[in-house]
Amino acid sequence: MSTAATGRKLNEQEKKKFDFGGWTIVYLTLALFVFLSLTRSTFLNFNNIHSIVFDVSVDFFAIIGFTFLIIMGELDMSVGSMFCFGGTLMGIFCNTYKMSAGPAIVLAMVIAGIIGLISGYLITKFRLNSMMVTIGVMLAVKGYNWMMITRMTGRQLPRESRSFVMNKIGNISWVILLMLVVAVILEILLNKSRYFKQMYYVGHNMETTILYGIKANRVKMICFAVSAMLSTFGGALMTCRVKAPNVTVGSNLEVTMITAAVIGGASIFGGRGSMVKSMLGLLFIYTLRNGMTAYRIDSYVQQIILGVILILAIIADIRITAKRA
Amino acid sequence: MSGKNTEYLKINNITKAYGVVKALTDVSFSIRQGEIHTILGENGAGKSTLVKIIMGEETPDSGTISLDGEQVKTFTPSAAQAMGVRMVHQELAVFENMTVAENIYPSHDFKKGGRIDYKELYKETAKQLERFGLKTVRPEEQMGGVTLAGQQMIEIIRCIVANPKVIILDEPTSGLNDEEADRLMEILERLKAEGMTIIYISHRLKEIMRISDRVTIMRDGQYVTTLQNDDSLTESDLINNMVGRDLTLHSIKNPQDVINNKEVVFEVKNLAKAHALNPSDLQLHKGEILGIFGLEGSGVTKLSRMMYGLERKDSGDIYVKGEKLNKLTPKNMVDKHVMYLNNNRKVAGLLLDMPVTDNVSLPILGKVSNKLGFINSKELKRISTEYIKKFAIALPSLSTKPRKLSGGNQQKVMMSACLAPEPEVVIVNEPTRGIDVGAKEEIHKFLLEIAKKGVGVIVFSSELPELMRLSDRIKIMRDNTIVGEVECSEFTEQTLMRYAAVGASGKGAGV
Amino acid sequence: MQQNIFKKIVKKNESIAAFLCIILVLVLTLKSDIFWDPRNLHSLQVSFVPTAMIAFGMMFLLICGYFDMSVGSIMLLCAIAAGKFSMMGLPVPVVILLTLGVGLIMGCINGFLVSVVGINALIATLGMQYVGYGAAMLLWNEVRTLQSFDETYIVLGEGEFGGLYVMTWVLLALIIAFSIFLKYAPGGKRLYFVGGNREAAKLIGFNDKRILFLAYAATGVLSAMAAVFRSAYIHKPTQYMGEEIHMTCFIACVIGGGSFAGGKGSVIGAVLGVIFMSLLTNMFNLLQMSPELQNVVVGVILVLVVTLDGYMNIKKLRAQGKI
Repeated sequence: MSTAATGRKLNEQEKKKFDFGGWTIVYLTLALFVFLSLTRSTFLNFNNIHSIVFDVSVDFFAIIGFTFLIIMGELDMSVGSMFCFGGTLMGIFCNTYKMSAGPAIVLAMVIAGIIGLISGYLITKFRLNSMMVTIGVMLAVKGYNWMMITRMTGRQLPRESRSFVMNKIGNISWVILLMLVVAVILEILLNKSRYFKQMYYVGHNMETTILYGIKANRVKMICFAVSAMLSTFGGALMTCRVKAPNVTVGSNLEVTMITAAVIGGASIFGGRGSMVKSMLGLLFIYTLRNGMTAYRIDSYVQQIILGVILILAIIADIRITAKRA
Repeated sequence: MSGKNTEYLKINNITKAYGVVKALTDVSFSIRQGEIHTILGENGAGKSTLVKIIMGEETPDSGTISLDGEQVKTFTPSAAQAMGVRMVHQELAVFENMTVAENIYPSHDFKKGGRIDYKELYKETAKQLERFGLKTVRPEEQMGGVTLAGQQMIEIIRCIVANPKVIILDEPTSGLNDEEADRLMEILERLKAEGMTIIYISHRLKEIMRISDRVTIMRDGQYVTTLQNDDSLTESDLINNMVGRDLTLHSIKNPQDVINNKEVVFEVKNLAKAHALNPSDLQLHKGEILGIFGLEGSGVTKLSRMMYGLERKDSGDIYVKGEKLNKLTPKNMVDKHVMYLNNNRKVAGLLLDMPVTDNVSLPILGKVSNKLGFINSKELKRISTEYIKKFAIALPSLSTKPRKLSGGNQQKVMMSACLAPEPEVVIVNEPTRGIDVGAKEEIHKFLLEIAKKGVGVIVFSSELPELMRLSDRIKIMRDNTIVGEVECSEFTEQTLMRYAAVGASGKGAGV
Repeated sequence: MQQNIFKKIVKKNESIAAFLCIILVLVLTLKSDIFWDPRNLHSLQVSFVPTAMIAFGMMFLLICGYFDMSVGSIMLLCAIAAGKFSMMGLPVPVVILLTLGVGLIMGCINGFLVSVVGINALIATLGMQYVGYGAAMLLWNEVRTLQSFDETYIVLGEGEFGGLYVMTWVLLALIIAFSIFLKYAPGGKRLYFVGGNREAAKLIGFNDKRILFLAYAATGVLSAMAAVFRSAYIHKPTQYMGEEIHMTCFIACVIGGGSFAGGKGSVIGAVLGVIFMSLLTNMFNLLQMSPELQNVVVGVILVLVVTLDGYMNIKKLRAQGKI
């Protein structure tokens, strides 16, 4: 789908100046924070902010693999159902097979990794559109989630798993701290490690990387597997928090992911992206949601607003990419 | 009509430059009404650019074009078509999912009461197919199933049924065999008899001699001369004008330095692919520069890419230092210290929007990173700086992105990336395409230098002087086959061009 | 001569779809006593017709080489909008016209984003799917209290004529009209040109942007039409309408001969593809497969279909020497 996937070529007049610069997402998020702090008294308190950041940190795991893939110009639409899949599998392993939480999560990740590898293989070997294939995977996994979860109604996950997830170090959840540490480490790796930097190269110009001996297809395949595994992990954490597998976990996560990554500077054309900024993108979206709820904006209106933001972000992406060409 | 217009299509002082590269400089000549006018020249002579301008696909920097007294005001394809100019491009613009009839009459709807009358469409198409001798093609047939020759003919028919004043044909026989090319010649002669004005671009001297009324020769973006195709015109006249320049240009290599008896570092055996490459062999010796020359459509690009595993082959093996490569992929080549310099840096070979250091690091990621995979930026900077100095690349800083550099400097960055892993064999494809003279010099000097140090170099190029300067031997390709080999002691442009355009035995392609 | 005709038929893309349908019919005949019961067959129409209408729109887009993820949301939004218009007391013909108008507007927005602005079709329509769903659910709060549509409106859904539902006759009319359009109208042909080689189509002078825009607009209207018929049958709009229908239609169209690469497809192919999906769903229901398991199977089929399509495309490019 060459024409549809890249959009039509832009003519000279459309290459206007529209570059956000690398720090835009930081400014935007800060501005939002300041605005909400000033206008809503309920915003600037520890519990509220902690809750926002906690939600971000759980979803963050799903955006790790997503960011890797978007840097390489691929889209993984199955992150949402993989997220829920983590909870589903945990439910099965803990309830039916009486496994404890830890091994259950690990096993779930392995299974997810295999699914990711298969998608990655098909996409790279047959040069398929990653969005369509992962939508198929999303459908299948979503169906599976629904199927299994309806059979598990009423059964909760082991109590220790919830308390484990909700553990805090000092006053802050360990999940948040983990996110911060992982985000920083990955950011450093993306800048300094050859294994991570090559993702930018592949996203920039896959043919060039192949010319110089980089195994572009293998890198992509591995990232599809990683994306599936980490989404599953994040979903497992979230499920522990809500005590039992639930079909709403991870719903519509794909749209959140794309929006967060793109306003965080990634481009759907590949070659750009940053882990820390994807995280900030998520923070922006969740803060916005929190703020909109504080303003008593209907949740469906919120959905419309987020959809519009996605479209605007993509338009900006096109402008920025055209300007560079 | 007041007799034939001798200045029917007038080209006046056309100049066009792409950055520093002067594609056309002050080109002026005219084409007579009802003649077959050939434009002849090597790759890079400016023919394509000129016809693109005539066709409205490019705008000239200065100069005018006028057709039948009317000057061209805007340069767009629709304007050109409205004026009555049609072109059959070298890269066919066909619709393989549509029928032959629909390809011939895409916008002519044969409407009968608001709907397309297929009977009429097929009838008219059948008439045209018959007129042009395409007996085995049916109007309802899908275009995808037609041979390349047939597709080419059909695209020509599409142009002709639009009743243009001028038709431009860009290398129309490049995919055709002798018989098919023959038929095309007959059709063109018939069209001329019917009054059509035809601009013909081709390398094939025998064809040119057969059908042209006049031949305009271009060289290095400039107009050279227009020759009348009467009895006194010979192929040598054409070749001499094509290559011109320094008729006594010899190789700068000393025949005694020719290194033919050193070890074979790279060997190609029986490399072939149906319809793309006939079985080809070659051997590269240590420290040797092997040149491979061919005009457009001769198969050089396919050979170079198949050699490196960038495209699939049907058969053949590659041996690096005597060892057969069991899987032909670029990664395996890089591991064996064979590097490839791509011919089109805009498509592949560079990361245009990433720093120069990242570009250089691509094939040496292992070399510049430690066991954990962390890139040693100091080491990378050192290597990059080394090559920047060697090539005298004008860089504001190491993190400059190649997109901001001139063509010559971009090419040098690409070379740096290729040479950073200190390869033993380098396959170089059009190393100096589209760059200024100064950068050209530097790259040539460097290639000679590394050859002296023992690196084997294969140079694919369409520029004869370049090859003659660099190579110890030159192989020539035509029609997807290697047709000859010349030692440096016997280099003359005429010999090489003759091989490429005509063939040693005098049998040209086409007719 | 006979051999040639036979070969020609077998080679056609739609034959695969027809073949698959025949297999399903056989399986259903063997495994289920209820399949051939007239009531079962009759009931198939009600889900088949709206899906087929949307599949037509999707087929137009696929022929151009494009796609629309938002058809389900458009359908939902239109059904709920129809409810709102009914609640406002407007006469039925006005309700229908306005509903079609809503679909048209949504389609035009899609067309604008993809064709004029140049956004990746999948993402643009994904965003619109999200926005459309939000808008639909906003309206739903008001509309959920609607007991039932007007009698006249319901006739569209429940009315029968000559043994078939009214909607089926409308579909038949559409099949004939669209088939003629694609084959005999210059505008229809242009879809194939644009899908086959967009650059060459531009060189010839076709307005590819406009053609694409109109295809999206048409898909919007068709989604609205599907919404009208379906909601008429159920007597009122529901909040689950159109779920996953974009995937069903996509699979149907690709089975019926469309391809991501563009330039291929036909109305009959779309119809056969939707018949296949309907038979499949019918089979799942008769075998008492849960809807969730059905989703799993459909998801796997989607992956298979996309992979096969991609594989055939690569094979073709290799044969042409382009790779």
